[in-house]
Amino acid sequence: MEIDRRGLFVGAAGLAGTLVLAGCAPQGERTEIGDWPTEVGDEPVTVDWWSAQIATNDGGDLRPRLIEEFGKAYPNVRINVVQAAADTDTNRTTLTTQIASGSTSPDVFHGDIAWPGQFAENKLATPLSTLVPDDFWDQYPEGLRTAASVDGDYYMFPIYIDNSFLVYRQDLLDKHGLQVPASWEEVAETSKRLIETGDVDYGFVYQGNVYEGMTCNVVEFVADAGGALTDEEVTEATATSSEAKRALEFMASLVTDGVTPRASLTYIEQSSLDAFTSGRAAFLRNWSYAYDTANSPEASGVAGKVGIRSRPGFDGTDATHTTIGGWGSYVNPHTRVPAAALAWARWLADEDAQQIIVREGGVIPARTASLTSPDAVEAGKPQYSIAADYTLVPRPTATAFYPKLSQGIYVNSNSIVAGQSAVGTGLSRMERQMDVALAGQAL
Amino acid sequence: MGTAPDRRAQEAPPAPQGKAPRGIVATRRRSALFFASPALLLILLVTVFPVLYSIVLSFARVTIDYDGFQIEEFTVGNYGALLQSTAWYQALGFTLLYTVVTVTVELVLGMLAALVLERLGVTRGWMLALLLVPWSLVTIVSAQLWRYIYDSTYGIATWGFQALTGDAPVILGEPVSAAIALMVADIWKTTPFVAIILLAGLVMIPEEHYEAAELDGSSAWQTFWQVVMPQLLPTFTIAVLFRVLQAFGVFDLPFVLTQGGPGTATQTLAIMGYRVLFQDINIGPGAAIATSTALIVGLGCLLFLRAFRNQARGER
Repeated sequence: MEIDRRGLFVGAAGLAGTLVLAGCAPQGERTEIGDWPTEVGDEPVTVDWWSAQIATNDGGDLRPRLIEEFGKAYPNVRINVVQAAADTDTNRTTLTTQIASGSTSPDVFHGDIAWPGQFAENKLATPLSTLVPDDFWDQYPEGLRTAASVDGDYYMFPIYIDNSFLVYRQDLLDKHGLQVPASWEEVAETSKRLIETGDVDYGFVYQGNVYEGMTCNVVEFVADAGGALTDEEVTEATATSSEAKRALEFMASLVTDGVTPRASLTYIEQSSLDAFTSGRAAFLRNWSYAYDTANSPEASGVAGKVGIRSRPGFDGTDATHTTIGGWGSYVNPHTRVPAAALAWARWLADEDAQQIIVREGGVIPARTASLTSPDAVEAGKPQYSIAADYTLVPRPTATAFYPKLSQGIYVNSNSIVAGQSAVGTGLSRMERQMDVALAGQAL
Repeated sequence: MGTAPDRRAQEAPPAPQGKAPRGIVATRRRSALFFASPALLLILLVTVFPVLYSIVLSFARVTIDYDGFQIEEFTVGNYGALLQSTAWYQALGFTLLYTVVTVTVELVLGMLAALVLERLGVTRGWMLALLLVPWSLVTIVSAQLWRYIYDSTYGIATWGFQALTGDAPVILGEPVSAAIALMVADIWKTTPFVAIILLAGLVMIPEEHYEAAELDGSSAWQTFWQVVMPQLLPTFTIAVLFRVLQAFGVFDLPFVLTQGGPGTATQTLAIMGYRVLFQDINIGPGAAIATSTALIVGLGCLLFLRAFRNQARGER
């Protein structure tokens, strides 16, 4: 037995050694991205498209419709759908290992809007500036262009975006003769009055758990106060600014004043929506689907009693801010069918597909003109008209270390809002941890 | 594997029954190797190789470029980074605490359950089946159920605390209560496993030993410590080993219940390794976390086995 065990070990070590050497060895010649063809030829080709469902108006899947329409323009290109995982992190894990190992499939993948920095640094996505004319990107709002680019190069074709909204109990405001709040201060004041009436337990709820959702909320509140958590180049944290201090002081006061329940510090999207649809909360910050769900009799106890508006600003400010969620198309740098892959990813981001999304989709189109088009007006969705006037505030994703940067934000802001750290101390710690993350030194 | 007969045995009368001549032994060994080779190759590929490659990566600076993974250089820097990381020490501390608390409580409760079960008559089968329900649930599913129980809006645990104290706690939102909540969920699920292992040991103890102890005037307490426990130690040791290995590598329960939060308060080494490796795409340090975790738990188990070597082998 001894000999066999040793043999097994030696064999495995040999195999490991061989593969390590193979990993170090230069691999076969590959075409430089700058030399990729951009015209689709006459040969039939198949593009593997890693994607999750794109919702239709009635909760169906818009992908077959998009593929059918693309086929009319590009009859030689067949789109093969590879079903993505439901969970963003699982998707990232699978795509990272697959593409980093040099896999040529998927050719195009559906990816989170927060991925460009990390995927650019690790060469998991194709830089697009040499392949797509500069003016192509002008059709998207500035905040979205910022989110899609890293160091001046674009890495993602936007497909659809998501914005956050303030959803509120219109019936209770009417019952007590109250106005829809026009500022955060009014949200707090109205919340207190509604809690006093006993009609609701909570005033304003949002996603305060220790996760990415908290980062979104903090980025928005800091933008409402006129600031940002990093410099524009995302090289340095600016979390101790007076604007960040004002934002976090306000968020903490919501909890101490009883406007926001402590439970909100464990909420993610669904639990905050549950607090609202169960009738316990008067105001909710959530993504665009929350308004539809809250007004759906099958899913909500307050259906038909719900209004929606943009997230307000602080007293005395006019601009309304939302961070950007949503998904885009990334092109695998190892694809064997670059021209067809580019054509598909680009078509999804361009006018024809975006208008289909406006008419038949259950999501917000990425293209500015589509959002204000006659089709959008006809769709009659309040989310579209609000989104058209929003100032988009991207999260600081243009860094390879975004997950750790975000962790520094959500861990410390949760602690501040929960009252476990003083605002000043918590923000100083946040800034330190963000700087360590940006230097690539955080584990 | 048989051993070849020595020279004296060759000169002596025919080999005793059961011992085959050298040629046959060699042939048997070759055929054994031949028939086992597909399975061995599979183990080599899916177990031994990934483990060794992970160790290699933990000593490497790995980058990803358009040609795929690249090992830039071999270095001990990944381990240096761990030793300088507060997050790693926190994760190590929490994992150790989690392991010690859950394994200890599970052993105590499991022993009590096993002692009761051993005395049950016809109902033992039914009770065993009931006891196995938590263990048979997939951890992801049971963790999700516990998440509902602890939910701060409609969770029954929150409601219970509020009814008792008048104050609704945010169970998964505070470091201490989140850690306790996690341990309770683990103990609920895994105590039956420990109980069944210990029960298997208990039923092996001959009835005569109890009778002899009783005749000698031994109290129940004395019988337990001086008759039962010494004979149960091999089984007990195995239960401890199984549980320590599982608890030290715990991933699914905190992943679903707390995601390592609030903050990083319930971040185990396995969760940290996953985050660094797959969320941060930081391959070298991620592999170093995985390797060091295996090394720590491996060393711990070796020391434990050395201390209880005879018991683990069942020698008395």
